[in-house]
Amino acid sequence: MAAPESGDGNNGAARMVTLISSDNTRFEVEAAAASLSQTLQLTILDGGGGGGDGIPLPNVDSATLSKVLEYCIKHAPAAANGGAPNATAVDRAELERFDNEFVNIDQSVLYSLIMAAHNLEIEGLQSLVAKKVADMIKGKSPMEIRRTLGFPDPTPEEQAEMNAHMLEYGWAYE
Amino acid sequence: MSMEQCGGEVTAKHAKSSDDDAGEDRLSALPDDVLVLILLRLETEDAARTCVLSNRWRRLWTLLPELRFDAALDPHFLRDALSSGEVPLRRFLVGTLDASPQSLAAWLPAAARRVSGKLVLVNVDQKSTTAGEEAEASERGAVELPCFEKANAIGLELGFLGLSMPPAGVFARLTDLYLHSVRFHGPGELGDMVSSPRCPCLQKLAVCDVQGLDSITIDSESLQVLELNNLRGVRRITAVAPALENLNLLDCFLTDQNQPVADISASPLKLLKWMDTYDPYSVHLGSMEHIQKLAIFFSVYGQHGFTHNNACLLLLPRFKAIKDLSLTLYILPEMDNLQYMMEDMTVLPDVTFLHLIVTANRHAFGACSFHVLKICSGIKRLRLILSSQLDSEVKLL
Repeated sequence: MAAPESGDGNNGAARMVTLISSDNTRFEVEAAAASLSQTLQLTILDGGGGGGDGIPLPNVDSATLSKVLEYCIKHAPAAANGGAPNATAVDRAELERFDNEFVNIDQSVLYSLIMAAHNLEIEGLQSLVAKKVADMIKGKSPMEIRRTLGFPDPTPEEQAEMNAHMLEYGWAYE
Repeated sequence: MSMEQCGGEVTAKHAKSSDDDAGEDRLSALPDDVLVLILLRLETEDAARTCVLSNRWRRLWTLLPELRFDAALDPHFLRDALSSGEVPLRRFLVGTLDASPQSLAAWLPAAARRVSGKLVLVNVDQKSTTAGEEAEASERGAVELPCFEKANAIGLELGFLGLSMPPAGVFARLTDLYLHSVRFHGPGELGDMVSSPRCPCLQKLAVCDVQGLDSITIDSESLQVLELNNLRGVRRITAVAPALENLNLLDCFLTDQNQPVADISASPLKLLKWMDTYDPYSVHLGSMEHIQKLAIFFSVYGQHGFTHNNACLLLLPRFKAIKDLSLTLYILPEMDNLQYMMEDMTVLPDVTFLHLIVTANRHAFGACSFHVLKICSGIKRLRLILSSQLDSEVKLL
């Protein structure tokens, strides 16, 4: 397939693409950042998303998309370096600091993010958010997990079933 | 909530509810594969425990494509864990402590049905460490390896538990097999199992520190790397392996002072590591015209007539030039009544890159090292490594 004639490569200004959230907000972003999404990468390589067209993302609202793009913009330079083998320790520490801060957010935003990362196939973001949720589960009893993840209190039937299961698996909890 | 309410109120209520309890629905409402991604970030046992959270989570962990159990677990739990899911396992890692053949037999067949990627089993044997106890261990019987039809890599470190090879079945996708501290048990034969008819894709075979292998005969179209390390008591090694590029033989005949008998036909052999005794009459390694890297050892002190240095003295001169030679000079810790053998080494091939590894055991090593350098004057690069034990050179190639 022929490469798009302009804006691709290293000559001059970086190529921009436009993404449109489910609530019709337009985001203009460098193609390199958007390409962290495997799904978008194909469209962009095909020459899509430029000019006035924009790529509609019917599954991602604007609040989530702006958060997703914040991640992509931060991680794009390292990704362009092929996982940044020549990145300095400082660069890596900075990315790690960013990541830690990035997922320090409200649970509902976290869940929207993991869904968006899944739909857009952004591997790094998927595993970052998955790890965050996993950390919330680690080393806790079932009731603690339910509380941490914001499950509603179990009905008496659910509680009885949980107890039965815990007994079945021989795990002493609470 | 009725739709007649004005927009502002709806928004407000919606926002409030998401703070309170919508989290449950939000997380549990995510598709299976997203939740599995979260579970993958947990230790398998923690992931399994989420089955008690709610109905939604009951079977989620059985969708995990990777399972890892580090600590010794009830074998029936392992079997149930394997049987409760159907997803092909790309990784299944198990650590056990003093496992019995029976306990492994309880879940290995279930693993064979599910593993499509890599199986790693490490059994730590805390009990039998001395030779007498090893004999006792041999009375504990053996577990039969089931046929893993879908797995592409298997690594077993069994702590000298008995293992018998399946007499039939095709390991159709297996590319890597690593067997460590295994006591082989009949009737099935390792050579038969790893040969092309039953292991058509096998590329790498490593067998280390094993007992009960009297001989091994491999006939493989696909094998590229063969590592045989300390096969205790082995008398004969035969391999017809036209794709073999890397042969690594260490201490198979030497320890028990057996006559080295080997017949390896592999025309493209590029890498040869021969850390063992050698006899040109009973060891046949083919033409070896493509060898680029050779690793070999020389015992600096010894008795007249001993054969330890034959590889260096009889095999090495067959090469006119070697790009990359790794020569280990070994000085025994006790050298009373032993003679200096370096004078036997009179000529070396043309070497471009010499790795000289000296295991001196606190003895002087200047003279022997200079002896090598004196007859190896054409080198372009030299790497001198002082190694504390013979084993550590394993990593050097």
